Amino acid sequence: MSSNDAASLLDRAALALQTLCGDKHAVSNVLLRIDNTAEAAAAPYQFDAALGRLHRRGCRAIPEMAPVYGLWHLTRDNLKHACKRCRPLPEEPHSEDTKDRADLLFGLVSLMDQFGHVLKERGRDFQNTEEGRQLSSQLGAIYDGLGRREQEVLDTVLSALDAVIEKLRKLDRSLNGNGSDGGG
Amino acid sequence: MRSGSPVLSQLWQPPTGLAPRIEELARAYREEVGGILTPLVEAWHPLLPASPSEYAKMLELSTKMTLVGHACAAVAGYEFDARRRRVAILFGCCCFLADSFLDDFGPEAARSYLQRFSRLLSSGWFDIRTERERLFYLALSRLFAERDVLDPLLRQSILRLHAAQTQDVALRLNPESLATLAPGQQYALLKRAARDRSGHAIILLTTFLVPSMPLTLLPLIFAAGALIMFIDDHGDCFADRKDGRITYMNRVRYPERVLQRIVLAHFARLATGLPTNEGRDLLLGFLLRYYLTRIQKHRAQRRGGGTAWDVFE
Repeated sequence: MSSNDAASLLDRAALALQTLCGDKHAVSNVLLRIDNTAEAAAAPYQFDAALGRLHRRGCRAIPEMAPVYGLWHLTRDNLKHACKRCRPLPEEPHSEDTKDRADLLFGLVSLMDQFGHVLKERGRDFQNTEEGRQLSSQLGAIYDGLGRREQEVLDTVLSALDAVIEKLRKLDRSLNGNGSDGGG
Repeated sequence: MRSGSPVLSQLWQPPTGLAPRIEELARAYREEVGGILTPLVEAWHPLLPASPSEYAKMLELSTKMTLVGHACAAVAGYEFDARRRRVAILFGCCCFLADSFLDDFGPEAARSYLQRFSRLLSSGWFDIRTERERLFYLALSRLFAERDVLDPLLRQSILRLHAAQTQDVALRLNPESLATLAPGQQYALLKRAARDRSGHAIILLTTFLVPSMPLTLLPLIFAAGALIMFIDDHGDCFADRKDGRITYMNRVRYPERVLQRIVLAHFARLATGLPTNEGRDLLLGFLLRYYLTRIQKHRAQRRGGGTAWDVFE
């Protein structure tokens, strides 16, 4: 298959995806939400792209109608742009990070749902690389450091993901029609 | 390459061979743009090349975006490889088509596009009504497939650009809202609108091209984008007036003098702020070339008239 054929196939898939809009069987009303306006406005830091000035959210020195970008984390290097009035400083991790982690986990679940069969095989290959082996020992240490309840939650999530992946693989095989991995 | 201004020469001296290098890049990118966009257009909107001047303008805008993309990626320290060139070319195609929805098919079409694009950003669903919209959606899909589009800065720059476009259309369709302001406020609003529209666009282009943009670069890249818009609006001054589009550059009394002041201020900021690398020279070289050619375009259109679709190099 040439790269043009592949691109054309992806174009058709992208168009077919839009025909699902309004379909009763569509998984969700939201296919992909790019709009993060609300989150950006609530970010703890706001960076004025015109003046190159970094503010805390709500700083009165932010000019009206300034083209600001929300930031969630700062580095020491960013402080050279700091507004003298509100003096933003990097914050210690706080409770909202828990929500971030939950968002991350749900994002992971949705990705696994979509690409699980590919991910599992790539994961096996990755474990055999030097980088993978190093990461594996680090992940083991992190897992050991978790409390019992956190370990249980993680185990449950991973089991659920495993079940989802298995179901997707079965579905994939049945759709391919010949019972073999990867189909025709 | 000569700046034509002694003050500008004091701010930045183009390195030897920069002008032919930019020429050579523009030629190569023009060819690559054709190679990527022509099959896409032929497959999904075959009628577009039937309007040769419009199609040529699309290819030229994508070439310009590719050059700017090259400069911005290099400023941030990244190689402008084949994938990044493809991203910049698709970005140029999307910008051209989006601008056409806003400018060329009347107020209802502009409002409808803005509304449907808002929905695309909030839900991912896009109601495709014409071949041209189908081409736009597919170019956008290919572009989105090249990058993690959930990057927070990238998402914000898409939204900021969309907001700036919405404001631009509102100013054009409801000029009376401008008339209620004092002259100074009118100028400030129009200047800010021009700055934001292209400033956010170049931030978006750069964010598509590089994995992360240092905060120090963000205002400089934003300023480079803003300067492109002022230069562009000066070149299109007469065509815009004819089309009823009010811009800062077609409102001021002495546009060439005003533009020169803007160019000097921006060059001073960019020449001292950007890291000294190939990207800096490419970006400044491109801006200088763009400035000089658009001054000529302005003068040519003052003499002989013209349209927004005129390709001028």
